[in-house]
Amino acid sequence: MVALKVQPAGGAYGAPISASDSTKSAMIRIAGLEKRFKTRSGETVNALTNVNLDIHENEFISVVGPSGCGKTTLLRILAGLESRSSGAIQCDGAEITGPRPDVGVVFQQATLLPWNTVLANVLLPAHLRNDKSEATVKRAEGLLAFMGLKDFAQKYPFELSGGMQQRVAICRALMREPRILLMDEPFGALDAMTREAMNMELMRVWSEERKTVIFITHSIPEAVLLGDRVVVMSPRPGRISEIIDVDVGRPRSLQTMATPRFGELCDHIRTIFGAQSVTATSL
Amino acid sequence: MSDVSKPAGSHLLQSIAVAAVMIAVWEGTCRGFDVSSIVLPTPSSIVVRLYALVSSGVIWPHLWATLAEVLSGFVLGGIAGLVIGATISLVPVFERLVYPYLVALQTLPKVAIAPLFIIWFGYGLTSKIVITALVCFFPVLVSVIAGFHSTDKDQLDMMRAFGATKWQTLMRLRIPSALVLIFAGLEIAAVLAVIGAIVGEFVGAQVGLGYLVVTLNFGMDVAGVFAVLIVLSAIGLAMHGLMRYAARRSIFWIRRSDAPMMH
Repeated sequence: MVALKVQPAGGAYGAPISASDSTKSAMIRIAGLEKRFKTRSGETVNALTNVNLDIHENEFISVVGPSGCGKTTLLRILAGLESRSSGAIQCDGAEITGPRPDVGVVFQQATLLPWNTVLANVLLPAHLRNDKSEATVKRAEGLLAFMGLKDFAQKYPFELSGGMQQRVAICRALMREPRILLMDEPFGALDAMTREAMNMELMRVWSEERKTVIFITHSIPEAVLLGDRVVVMSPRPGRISEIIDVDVGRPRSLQTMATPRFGELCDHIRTIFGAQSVTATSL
Repeated sequence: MSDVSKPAGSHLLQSIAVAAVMIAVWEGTCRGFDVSSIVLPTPSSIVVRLYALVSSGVIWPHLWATLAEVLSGFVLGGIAGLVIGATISLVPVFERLVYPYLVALQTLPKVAIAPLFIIWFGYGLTSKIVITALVCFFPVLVSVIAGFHSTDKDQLDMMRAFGATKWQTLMRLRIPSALVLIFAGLEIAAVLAVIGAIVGEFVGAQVGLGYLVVTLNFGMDVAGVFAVLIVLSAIGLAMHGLMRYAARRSIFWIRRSDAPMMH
């Protein structure tokens, strides 16, 4: 097995701190986070158990794991859409209790409003705060142009392909100039080719508009390609099993995926999942 | 687009051809087997009778009366359905308190209560308008409630994540989402409105196409009855077409093939 710079999963005694970023204090601090659901039959399900994670400003965090590992729940708690059962989740030292204006969210589905034009969809976050200024419209148009959707501003979502719709959703999330971008498997519904193109697009956006990104995916290569660190989660109960530093230089491209180091990192994550499934079957 | 419109055009031609053949067979059978005009009048005699009803002016007062009943009843029933449906959807207490009684009322056959309405509201237009409104009310009510329940969960999350207030979510998401099913309900109500008005007229009226049908039937004028039936189906088609047009303009984002509409 290749030697990897791998951190422990952050047990009961404090959160793991990335070696490269240990000098900076964390922007988002998740400590001992738990989330329990009650099912209809009255059983309690541990969606998240003892999740510890520090995220630094302008860091790109990929979260990868099989379905049921609680990665979407984690993102929903970060977005303020879901409450936690116990533990702490802070942004700039303040507890996250609800949706925040400095957070942009991109969902698995584009969730565009079909009766609004592309431009009106991008403007939605501004309109919700009664901001209808000329400058805001200019920013929306600028974002669309940046995403290669200049000529589609007056079109309706149903006139766009799936990839284009998701790009509009990204524009919408960037509208209020958020400091944090939360993305829940945003490209999961796209075909492989479009998905790769969108990955490149997202890296371009991130290099231009530096943000803290938390990117949920179930694709290992996607997680490694995009992330500064990859948080590997495992199910039943949902927890972090490993946090991996992606020591691959930037800018990265699709060619990066052909490098040996990239392959090693992907293999390592696969091994984690493989080990889990073996354990699961042996139980 | 051209690959869509071309088959549509030839479909229309096919439909017309089928209708022409059926009418020809009908005409031929009636003449060939010398079928009594009381049992089944020939298409040509129906057309002649329709022309006579129109040109003599006999049909107009009846047509206006029925149209007034259909339109007023549809509008009143539709508004009541929209208002009560929205109230039930948005104020949960009402759903528990009122909805069971509304369902109970719905299970009652409206034809059976029609005679009561004649007693309460008289032989004039009012009783027919009330019956029509009642018939139109339920499909609209149910579609409004279903419409408000149909809001996409992901989109609700999206609105929340971007900090929308309850009012903003209602205006920008829930109402537009509900429109799709509401129009389906309105479309059904538009067709039922004609049935409501005719049922009311059958039970007791002095004017109206339903009344005319009963009168002509009584006089064994079967060709005349058929002629009025053509007028009635024209009204139904016009109402349906009108609602379809309104729906296509209002919920333009739903492609016709996806729309949960009556065909």
